[in-house]
Amino acid sequence: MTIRAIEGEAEETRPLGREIPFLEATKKLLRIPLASFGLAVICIIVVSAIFAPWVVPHDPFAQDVNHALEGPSWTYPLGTDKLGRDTLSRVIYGARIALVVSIGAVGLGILLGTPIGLISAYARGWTDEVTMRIMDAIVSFPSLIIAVALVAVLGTTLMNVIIAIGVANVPWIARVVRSQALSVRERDYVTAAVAVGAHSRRIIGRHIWPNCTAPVIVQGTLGMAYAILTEAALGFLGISVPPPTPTWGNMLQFAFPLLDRAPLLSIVPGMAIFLLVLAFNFVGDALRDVLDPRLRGLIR
Amino acid sequence: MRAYVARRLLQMVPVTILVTFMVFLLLHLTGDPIQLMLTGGEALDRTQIEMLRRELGLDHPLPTQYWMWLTKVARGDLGRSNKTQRLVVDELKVRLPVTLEVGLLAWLFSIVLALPAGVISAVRRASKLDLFATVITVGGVAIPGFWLGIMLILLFGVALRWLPTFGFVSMFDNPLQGLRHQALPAFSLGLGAAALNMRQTRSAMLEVLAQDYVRTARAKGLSEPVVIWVHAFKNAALPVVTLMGLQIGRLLGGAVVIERVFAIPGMGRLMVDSIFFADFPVVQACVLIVALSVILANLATDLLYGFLDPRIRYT
Repeated sequence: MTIRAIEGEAEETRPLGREIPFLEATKKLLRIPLASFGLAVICIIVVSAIFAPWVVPHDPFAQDVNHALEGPSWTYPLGTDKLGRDTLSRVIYGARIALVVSIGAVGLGILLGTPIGLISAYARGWTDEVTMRIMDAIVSFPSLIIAVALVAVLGTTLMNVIIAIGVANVPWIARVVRSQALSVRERDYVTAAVAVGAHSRRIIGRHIWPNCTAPVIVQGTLGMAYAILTEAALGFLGISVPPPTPTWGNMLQFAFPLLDRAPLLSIVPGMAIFLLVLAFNFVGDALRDVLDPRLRGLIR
Repeated sequence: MRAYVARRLLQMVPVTILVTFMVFLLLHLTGDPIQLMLTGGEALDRTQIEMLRRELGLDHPLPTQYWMWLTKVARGDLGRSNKTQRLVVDELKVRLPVTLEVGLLAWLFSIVLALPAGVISAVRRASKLDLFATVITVGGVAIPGFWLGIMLILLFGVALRWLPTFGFVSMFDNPLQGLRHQALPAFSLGLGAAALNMRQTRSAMLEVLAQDYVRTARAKGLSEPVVIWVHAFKNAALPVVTLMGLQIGRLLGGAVVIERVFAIPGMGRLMVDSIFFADFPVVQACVLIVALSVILANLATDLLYGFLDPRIRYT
């Protein structure tokens, strides 16, 4: 057997993450009722958020003080707030921030966490020990407090909120990638690649990383749920994206003092958060079962 | 066992140094802590800034500064509040017990609710009870804690007027009033943790109930409650104990928002208020307290786990 043939054989083996092609995975996912429900909710919210300017009945920033604190009506289906702004329009616009922040935070987590996990698993020894200790230290720390502390120091802008929430995501991704990479490292095709003299970079990039995508997808989906909850909490505390931009969190912040006069203002944004987080949880759990049930103990 | 304890304590040292260093770095993240201190205050001219810099030791290299800060903290000197000029330690002495009391109640609630529910859910699998428990579990994880608090205020405070909706009364001062004031915050704070505990208990019990020794216990003629609680539950409890210990961090995080909702004068509220007043020494001190609490909780959990499961002591 020539060296080329060995390398070729190694490449022929289907990596774990690709054993189930994307379409088949989606079909399996859709067979789980809760996951279908979750996907439907996510799609509806994402589409409304993207096309918000065309979907909303009113301008979310437009104030109509004559109709302040009104209940549901034909003009304002979910009522209005203290300044006469339409709640429905603001909730739809709030979805934009929720989605942008959570995608950004999870993206940041994956961007930073993946190389950390891969290098840690590949290098092993001292590097691995130290890196994982740092990751463990961050993981056990309450992510909301990390986010609050970072936004406090960096300032309340969209980017800083994304960074603040993203930082807490990094160790989760890193741990999950490292775990998967450690087991993939022992596979035959990796041993073959090493024997053939492939570069570390090639081994990691071409053989190890593609097989780590499954747990990252699952962790990322569940991470979206956490990010949305954290952003809402920051908004409620008044340290997320500042007004007049509507976020679900700051809508709750302004609605809270008016709880006895206008309870609907507090119910609606909360329901929106609850629904979207529930949807991501359903999809994430189903993805975990579909892609690899063995991941059960690994991911939060 | 002693060797295990010693090893765990030793491992705590580098983690503590690492975490305290990260907390110390918090105020240096934007580059100049002086600027952070001056935000929202009066402007100082260059000479005054330089004097302040020398006084606070900010002209030393970072590791030296860290050491100076650490030794001060070890002596109990957490600095002074920018806003009130009071010692931070004095402020914390009042606030911390409040947060701890509500947090403890939430933690107890999460255990008392979750463990029996998880066990029953596993034993009567696929029954209506199991379904109900699963719904609570799934909902409890997805619901924002502070929104749950707001909804509970709406129900019990505004609509039914059964319970007070703000303020804090310690149960050590007045048990009944204390419980009435803390019931809603503890419930809102603890439900998320309860949901996770319930899920973990259920899956651990399911695994254990499938084991051979359970079948043997039943075959021996032991009554069902004895089989479930004495044999199965004891073994299922191990992973749940670990999880419970790690909930401390989550509860402390949740307390920050819950205290805002229920107007509880605790440490979480202090932290957030300090942010708005740019009172960074207080923010840093609060983060440090949380960090140390989490480290201690993790240590306690590890030790308890080692005590309960002899196999762990040899790793």
